[in-house]
Amino acid sequence: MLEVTELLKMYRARGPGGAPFAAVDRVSFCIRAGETLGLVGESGCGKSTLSRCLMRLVEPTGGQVMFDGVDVRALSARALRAFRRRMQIVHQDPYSSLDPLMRIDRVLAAPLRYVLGLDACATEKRMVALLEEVGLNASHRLAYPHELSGGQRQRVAIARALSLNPEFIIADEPTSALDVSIQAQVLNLLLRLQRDHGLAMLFISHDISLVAHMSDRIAVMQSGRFVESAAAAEIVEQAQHPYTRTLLAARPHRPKRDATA
Amino acid sequence: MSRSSPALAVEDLSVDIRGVTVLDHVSLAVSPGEALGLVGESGCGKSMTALAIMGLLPRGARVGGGSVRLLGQDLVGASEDALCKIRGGAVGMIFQEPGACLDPVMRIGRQIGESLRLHRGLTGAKQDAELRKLLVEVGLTDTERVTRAYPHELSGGMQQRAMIAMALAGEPVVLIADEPTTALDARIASQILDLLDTLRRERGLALLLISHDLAVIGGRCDRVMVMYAGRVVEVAPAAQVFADARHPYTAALIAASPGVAGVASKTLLRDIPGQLPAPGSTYEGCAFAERCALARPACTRRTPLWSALESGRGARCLQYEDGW
Repeated sequence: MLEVTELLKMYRARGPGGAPFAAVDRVSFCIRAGETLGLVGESGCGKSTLSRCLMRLVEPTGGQVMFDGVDVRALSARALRAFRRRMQIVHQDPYSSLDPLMRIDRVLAAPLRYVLGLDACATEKRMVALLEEVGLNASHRLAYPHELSGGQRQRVAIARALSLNPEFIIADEPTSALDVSIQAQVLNLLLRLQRDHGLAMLFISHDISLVAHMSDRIAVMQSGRFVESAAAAEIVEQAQHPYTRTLLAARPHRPKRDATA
Repeated sequence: MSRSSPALAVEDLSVDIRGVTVLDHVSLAVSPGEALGLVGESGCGKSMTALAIMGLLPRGARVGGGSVRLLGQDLVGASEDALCKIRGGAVGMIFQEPGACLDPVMRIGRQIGESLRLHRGLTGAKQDAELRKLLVEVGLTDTERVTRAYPHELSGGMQQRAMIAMALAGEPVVLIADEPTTALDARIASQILDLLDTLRRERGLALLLISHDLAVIGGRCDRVMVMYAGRVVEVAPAAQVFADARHPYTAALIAASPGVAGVASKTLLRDIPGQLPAPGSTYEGCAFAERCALARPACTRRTPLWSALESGRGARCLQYEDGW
């Protein structure tokens, strides 16, 4: 579905004469339909820049991005717009990714009407179906973002991403603003949607336990490079790279059980 | 468990905001050198508990009853002057967003120095020496650079270390850490929790560690206290709670965490359906009943009382009462 070869994004350090550096440094990977690649790394390692390069929200400096046989980097501005509906992003913070002044029905109706060209009646029907699919109901379309909880907002963001029937979803830290109890609901929703629609997914997080739970394969990213990539279980059980082992060691540990208990 | 007199003891503390109860008879005690974990989801009252202890309740909120004792001295009704001395003095506090708590236009050295002057009257060379000692203690060993740095020149983890140094500047007996690692990467979070662990052991601090994630703090506490809808629903030794939670909410929180051993990847997690009841909403019986897998008809009729269980444990659930 998605095949990325030697993807490169250079930036120049701030200030005059700043040295150029690679935020994404010749990264290659592929993701098949129905498959999830987990991308784990710490703040600043380049994981969000990488995801933006895939959709050309940031222009890559070099390398190739092939999506279902289409060379994404060669697309004209017009073709790119049409192409982007097949790839959607769910961002980290549902508080800032939804316009606070836009009621949910406007958020969801816009892509349905203007991109898919549905009429008012079909838009309404599809909108309700989308809300129900993400575990909300028809009444939520009349709410403003501030009237919803963090989990509900993230569901709206997921419904918006689904509205154009994408084949590929990028989930960039989709639960890091949420409580554990609500996080589980949102993760389950993503797993169900992937199963039902055969979505390919790039799941990004700094939390290796989370990535391990959500992914078929994992790529570990440090300073713009993949230092290790393998099947999820293999990474967790027999990590090769020392950096991966540090990440695994930082997972929360449980107290040893009292012998007396 | 040794029962030394607690550094901080909260008893039957109730808080309401314009007539709506947000804390309902909350009691807790932390002894010197002990770490108590306070766990629950957003809106359950854990931060409100911390603010009430410090006398920092938001406008419109008031203490409806109960007491907060710091080394025996009651803080409820204490004068603002007295509270000012205690905040940053005997009670240190660190929060989720170190970047938002530090003054962006003041160098780190001056910010910590101010605490040293205010709470311990240290100035000049004595202040500098103590400042350096504190920075080294929290792991900021490049003291020259950190002292002169502005907050934005430090990483999130270093900012949180600077916050901890500032909290330590007043030689606290109690340290309240409210979601201290939520904004940090997992590896940095683990280092900050290690630091807090070392500090409370070496300095004999009474540590109140607040988080929405039991998995993150469970391994760093002696006891955990779980709150739901403004009430304490379970208290247990941390070493027992993961394998043997007594309140269904605690058990559900544990099961909802990914990365629990034995859960295959890409399988559905055991999520907790629904959400916390809104403050002020009216319900009969147990606040958790409508999300609870074990709920029976009695649960929506009778409000559960606190049941003391063995070895200092306790839970607020009808299954431990007669006639369930």
